[in-house]
Amino acid sequence: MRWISRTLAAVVAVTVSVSVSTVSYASQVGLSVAMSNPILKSDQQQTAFLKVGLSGFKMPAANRRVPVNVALVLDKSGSMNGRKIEEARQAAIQAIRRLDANDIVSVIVYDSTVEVLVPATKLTDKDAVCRKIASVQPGGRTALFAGVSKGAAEIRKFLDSERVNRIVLLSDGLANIGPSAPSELGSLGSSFKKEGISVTTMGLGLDYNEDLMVHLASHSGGNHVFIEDETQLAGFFKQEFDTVLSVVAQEVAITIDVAKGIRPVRVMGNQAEINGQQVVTSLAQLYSEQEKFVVLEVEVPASPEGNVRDVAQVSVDYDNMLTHRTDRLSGKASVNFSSSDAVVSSNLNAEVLEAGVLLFANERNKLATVLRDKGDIDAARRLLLSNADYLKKYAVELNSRELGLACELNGAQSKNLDAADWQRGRKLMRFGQYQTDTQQILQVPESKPSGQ
Amino acid sequence: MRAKPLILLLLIVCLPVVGLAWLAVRVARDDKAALQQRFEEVFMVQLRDIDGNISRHFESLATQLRLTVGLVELNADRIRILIREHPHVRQIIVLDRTGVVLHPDPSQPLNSSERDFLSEAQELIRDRDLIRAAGLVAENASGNRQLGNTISESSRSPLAGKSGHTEDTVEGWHTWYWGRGVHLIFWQRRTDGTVVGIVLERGRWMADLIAGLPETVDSKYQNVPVAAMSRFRLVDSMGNSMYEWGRFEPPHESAPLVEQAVSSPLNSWRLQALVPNSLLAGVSRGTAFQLASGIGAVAGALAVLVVVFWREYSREIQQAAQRVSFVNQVSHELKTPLTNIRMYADLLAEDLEGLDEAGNGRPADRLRVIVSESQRLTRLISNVLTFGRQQREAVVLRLQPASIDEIVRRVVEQFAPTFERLGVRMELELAAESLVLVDDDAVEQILVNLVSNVEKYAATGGVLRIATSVGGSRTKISVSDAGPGIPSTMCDAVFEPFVRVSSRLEDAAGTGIGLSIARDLARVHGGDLSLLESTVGASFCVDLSTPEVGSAT
Repeated sequence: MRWISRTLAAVVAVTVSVSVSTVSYASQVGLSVAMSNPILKSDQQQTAFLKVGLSGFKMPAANRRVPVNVALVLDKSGSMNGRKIEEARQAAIQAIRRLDANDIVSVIVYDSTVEVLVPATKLTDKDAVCRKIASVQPGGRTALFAGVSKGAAEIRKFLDSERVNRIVLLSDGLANIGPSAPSELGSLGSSFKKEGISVTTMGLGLDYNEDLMVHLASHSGGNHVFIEDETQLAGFFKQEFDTVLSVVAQEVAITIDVAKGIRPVRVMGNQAEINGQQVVTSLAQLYSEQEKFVVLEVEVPASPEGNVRDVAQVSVDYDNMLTHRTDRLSGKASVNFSSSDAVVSSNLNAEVLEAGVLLFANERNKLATVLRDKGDIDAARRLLLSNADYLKKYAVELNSRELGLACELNGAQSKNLDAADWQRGRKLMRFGQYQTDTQQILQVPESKPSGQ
Repeated sequence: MRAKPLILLLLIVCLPVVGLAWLAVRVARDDKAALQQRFEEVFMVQLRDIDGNISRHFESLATQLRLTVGLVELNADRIRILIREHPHVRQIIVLDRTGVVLHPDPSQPLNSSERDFLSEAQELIRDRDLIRAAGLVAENASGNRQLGNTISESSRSPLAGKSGHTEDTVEGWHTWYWGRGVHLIFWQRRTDGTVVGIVLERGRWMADLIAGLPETVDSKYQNVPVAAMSRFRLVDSMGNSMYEWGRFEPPHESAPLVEQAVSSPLNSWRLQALVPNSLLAGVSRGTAFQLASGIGAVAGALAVLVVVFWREYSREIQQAAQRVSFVNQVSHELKTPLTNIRMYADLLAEDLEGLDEAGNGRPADRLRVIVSESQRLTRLISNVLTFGRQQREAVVLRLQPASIDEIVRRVVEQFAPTFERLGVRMELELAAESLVLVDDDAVEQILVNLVSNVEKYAATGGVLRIATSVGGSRTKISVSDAGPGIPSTMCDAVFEPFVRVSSRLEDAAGTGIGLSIARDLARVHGGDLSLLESTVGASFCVDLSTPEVGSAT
């Protein structure tokens, strides 16, 4: 039945596709589909980036924000003792204070075992919830997987596509009870994403497993942050709740039907299925006035000058949190061919190219992490330095501040590969990679003066 | 002499205490075993309950999979959409009846997760595990790998109805070990001969399993101490803890109290319950303490009783000794004036003999009474003194040459006036005239006691027969009467001190120590005193060791 509805929708989409491609209505997500090189060099096979950008609309001020269903899953293992648990309690309480009676909150704490401190409930008695959070005392090992499992069970009690369903996981250590492989947490995250639950993972200090945390966040479509100092906790919690409270669209399914003859090579920055000519990917959430994008690298066969080729047809389904309807958008991209290099380069789409370069460099940055993990510090350093050069070249060419920052970051990372710095350096790298991949807006907050 | 009662008293205290202690140890040990068993039973019941919940969880998961995936016509697109939408499904594999993979079809363009799956599942596909599980391989007798539970007819899918072969639709769980551990595949054999394997998202089914298990409850709401003091654990096939709950934090590597294997499909996993050792030991330590304090109380009470008893006993012994010594002293003091009285009475009797022939005999008769009564008093006192000496084990023989017959005659002479008055005829058969070494005081005292018994109790028989005989270095003296005799039940008892055949007051007077003294003296004298069997009256025989004067020294 769903299959039928899809075909019907596709027929409708064809009729409206042209007008929708760039226009953004106040209550609808904006879709932009564009090529990095709208004009390609003729008579040669080449690759180009296709960017599918989605920008969240601004919630009308009159409207109330979207209600949320949040499970706070907090680590209270022995290593949290002292300032960490204090700051965590404060951060959680401050976050809860921002919610209201339409929101659903549950609080789960875990050490060796899991305790559902506050079962999922409408937040009618904030003080009671805050008091319970304030009473949390640390001790024990780290049953992270179980904490997340119970958190998801609490979320599911009120699982509803009209709410933002989010697990916020805080951990400061290695998961040492229960499944702990990044693949297992990734598997769990994928499953959550299908239900519309995403997990934001917050790694505190230098002892957590960043791969595990990144996998869980990326597969489920949540955020991931590296909180180096516990004084930053409140700031990160605030930003996380800012994003949660600004969700305008959920369960964004993107289907890219690539034209015959053009080969979809890979999707950068987001998990995607490439089934022959069809590329399927999804975004868990879109935030108000923020753009998220997916970049597909395509291989275009040699074509004669003057030829116009359809590259891809894009359709997007999403749950509109304002109208509570499932909206459908579509757009398409095509390329022309010219034998003149000048024509080709003068027609570059700087915005798409910037995104493509950023994500491409990010893939190479991940490779540098892999090399460093194998112990090949020199190779990792060389890769990062060449990455910096690559980014610098485009930063100048496109006059891009963002690429310039990425260039600096790669350069700085190349100096932090030694054993003494690596535990911290690796967390920073994975955090940076994740931010770039997901266009995450969570940034290191300004620390309190006392934290320095 | 006082050591024996002391040991007895100590035993009276120690034996019950030792016995009680032994019992207590037994009880404590049984108690601990019983307690442990009780705990084990309680926790085993809980583990079985939990396992039941796990089984039901997988049953409902199977139902869910059957409804969402199991009834759908499958093709590559449909499968991909199913995987994208179904949170539990990681991948779906379709095989034909010979084990050839129909989906994901390696000859078609595959997405990365399909390619990854095919490389992971190489062995699963090559070994035709799913085909075997579905019962499509004939030689499954060698290794029946059907781990799943075959769903009964009532719950079979309607697809089977069309074909009419009800046994055709079979489904179940298959466990597949790869990478980090066990993966679950829900397989179906469809009527078209294909086998569909729904590979579950490992992270997800584990999370759901965990979400369905109890969590640790806030201690504020927990009023069951046993639950508060335990830890439950779900352990995978490698022994890694997958999930734990309960307030007790067990030390590293501690062994579970009870363990239960999880039912299919997770039969390689186990449920464990752990309790602190102190919980088992603690309760029995309490019992042990109670028992120990009980025993202590009993021992204390016994000790107090023994002390009190010992003090009373000692005082009485002391008082009795004082009384005996008093009686001895008094008797001794009595003896001296009595001797004088007798001596002077004898002298007076001799003086009166001359007078008697002239005048009437009345003063002489009266004097005879005085003499005879004083003799009787002497005998009494000497018996008391001898008895006192015996009690102190201070009887010493003074052997000197004497004639037994002479001693007999002396005694008989003493009693002659009395027997004459009582009308008792004395028959003497004396054949021990020779001089032998003997303590004549002891022999005289033996005979006096025997003869005075005849005077007191057997005068009615009218005859007293005394016979002596010598054989080698032994002398026998027999004293017989024709009185009422001694009942056979008393034959032995008469020789015990203070025993009398009749203790009635109106019967003849007596102290009850005469025969006892006589026998003891005879024994000291190397012989014995015995009661002979006789048809009439009583007949005593004194047997003495009497070395001849010449040969003895």
